[in-house]
Amino acid sequence: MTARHPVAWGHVALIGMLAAGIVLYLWDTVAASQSVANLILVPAVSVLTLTLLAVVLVRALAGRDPPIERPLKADDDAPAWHTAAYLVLLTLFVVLAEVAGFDLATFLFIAAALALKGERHPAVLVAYPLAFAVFCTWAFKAMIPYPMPALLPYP
Amino acid sequence: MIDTAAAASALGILFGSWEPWLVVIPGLIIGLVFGAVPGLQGSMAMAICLPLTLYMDFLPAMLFLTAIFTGAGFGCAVPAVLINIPGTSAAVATCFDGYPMARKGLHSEALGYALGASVAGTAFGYVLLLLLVDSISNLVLRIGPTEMVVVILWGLTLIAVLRGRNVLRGLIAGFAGVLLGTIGLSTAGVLRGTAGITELLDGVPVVPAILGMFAVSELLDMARRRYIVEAKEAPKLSFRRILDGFLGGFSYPAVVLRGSLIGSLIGALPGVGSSVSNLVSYADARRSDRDPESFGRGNPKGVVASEAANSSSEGGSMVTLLALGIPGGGGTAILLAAFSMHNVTGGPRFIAENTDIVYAIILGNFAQAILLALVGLGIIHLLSAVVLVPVRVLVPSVLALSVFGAYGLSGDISGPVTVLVFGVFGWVLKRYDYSVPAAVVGLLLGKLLEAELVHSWQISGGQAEYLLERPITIGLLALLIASVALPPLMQRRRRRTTPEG
Repeated sequence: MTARHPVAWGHVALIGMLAAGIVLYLWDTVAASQSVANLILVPAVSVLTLTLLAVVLVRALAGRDPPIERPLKADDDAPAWHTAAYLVLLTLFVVLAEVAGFDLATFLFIAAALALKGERHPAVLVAYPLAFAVFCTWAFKAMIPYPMPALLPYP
Repeated sequence: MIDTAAAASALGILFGSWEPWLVVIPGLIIGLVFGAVPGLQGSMAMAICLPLTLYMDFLPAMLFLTAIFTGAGFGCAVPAVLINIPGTSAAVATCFDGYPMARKGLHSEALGYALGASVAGTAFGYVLLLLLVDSISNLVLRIGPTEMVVVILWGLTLIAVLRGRNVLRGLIAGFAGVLLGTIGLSTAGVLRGTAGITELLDGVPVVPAILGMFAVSELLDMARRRYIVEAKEAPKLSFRRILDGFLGGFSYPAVVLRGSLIGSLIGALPGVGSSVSNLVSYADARRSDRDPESFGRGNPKGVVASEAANSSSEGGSMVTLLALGIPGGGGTAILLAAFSMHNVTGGPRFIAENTDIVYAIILGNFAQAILLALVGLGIIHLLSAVVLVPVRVLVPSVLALSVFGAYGLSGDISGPVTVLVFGVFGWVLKRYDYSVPAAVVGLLLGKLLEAELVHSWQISGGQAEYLLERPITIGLLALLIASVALPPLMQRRRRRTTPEG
């Protein structure tokens, strides 16, 4: 007899989001044009994927899937919210890069990430992010042909 | 077997200018460092460096990216030997005997054996490719649009079936990738799925999306890990003993050759590559050895077998990329993205029409194998220290580089935003065991699949009987069905026999 596992609601949410995205895309594709060239791939792949998602959903809700959230590894040293915090920092970094400049955004992002992971030495918290931010901004500004927002003036 | 005129032209292209070589050594060093840091990967380094190749010609771009590929092939052996943590899944089997050797105080020799076998394996894979590429090109020129459709579907299916433990989720990821790949203006001139976002008119920006799915998703996952025992000090290495090991690697020619052959063959299969070949080669070396009990206790042949196989997989994986334009995994997916960045279409016509460029790529990679020996010996001390760099410093630094790279590619904030969105998407997929490489390959091939389907429809006039006139299509379809149906059947049979046996 197969052992039952607790339902992973995060997985169920992912299945729901994928299915919703596929249905919306299918709707948009059919509405855009009814020509064979337009409908030759997307409807078939959409229906196939939705069917597979339905099978996975049934298995997930019936608790017939092995645990899918990977077990905490022995070398994991931080709680799960660290990933969420990283994600927030990364989002702020992307937003701030355009508004305040890549150098300032990079400095703040790396310093905050180091602090989040327990770095408390002031020299490491300030010197490394500063050097990294200035060097990368300078190097990329020199390499790419587009203007890159930055706080400091670079040669 | 070898088109000598094209080979001569390739040598002219390669050695007529220093430009293609200028990027090889930096590429090798980047690959070695990314391979050596547990959690970072060669494909991640290739994704981050992909925007830089926009400013290079096609050949230097290819040599730069394949140099990273080659460097990472050996780099991942360094932590496997020194701290018993494989840099990537390609070096799992290297741990089995590499770490026991290190515990006996033979870490320098073990690294030398790994380097020697990596150099030999890489060179073997590309020599094999050089010998076969002409015949392959003649073969693939007979492939029409219906065959291409089946080959693309087969490649996607193989990645899903062979890569993860969850076939259904692998298939879903691949098909979702295909749908994402068709967003934007279709080959029929119809606009779909853009939700009014002008940046999506040409489709999902592939390179930032790959950067997000390969690099950012992995880094977000790493944010929770420490990996490195920070109290450890880098072990002292002896250059002379590394050199002894390096030369010693060649004293097992049979192990090197068998491992390289296994690696090349497995590398050519989409979805498997070096992460499987090192284990298969290790098992083969152990089974065929006179003293199998010595494996796992510090037998250098174990290190040699694993490293020869994982390095030769690179040449094998180039077969499907160059001949069919279909990537088999992370590294080749990024090479295909580089193809499109340079307006080069891989596939059947590419080899026939650009034989000299293909030979230049292969010969350049052969030379890279030799340079790997020099660069590897030169910076192995640095690599042993890089292994100990804390993840808390690496993760934000590499994340920041990904954002810089994406901006460099798009010239506006749409690149970094794409990286962020696809980074989260890749992380969620990975968390629930959906294959990220399958999604990336689907994304890369979605438009091509649709174009080939439309072409097939036009040629056949919409008549299914047309397929009966295409025996290669039918054969490939049979292979596709077998590769989906056989693994579950075999698994069920094994489950039935295990309790009795």
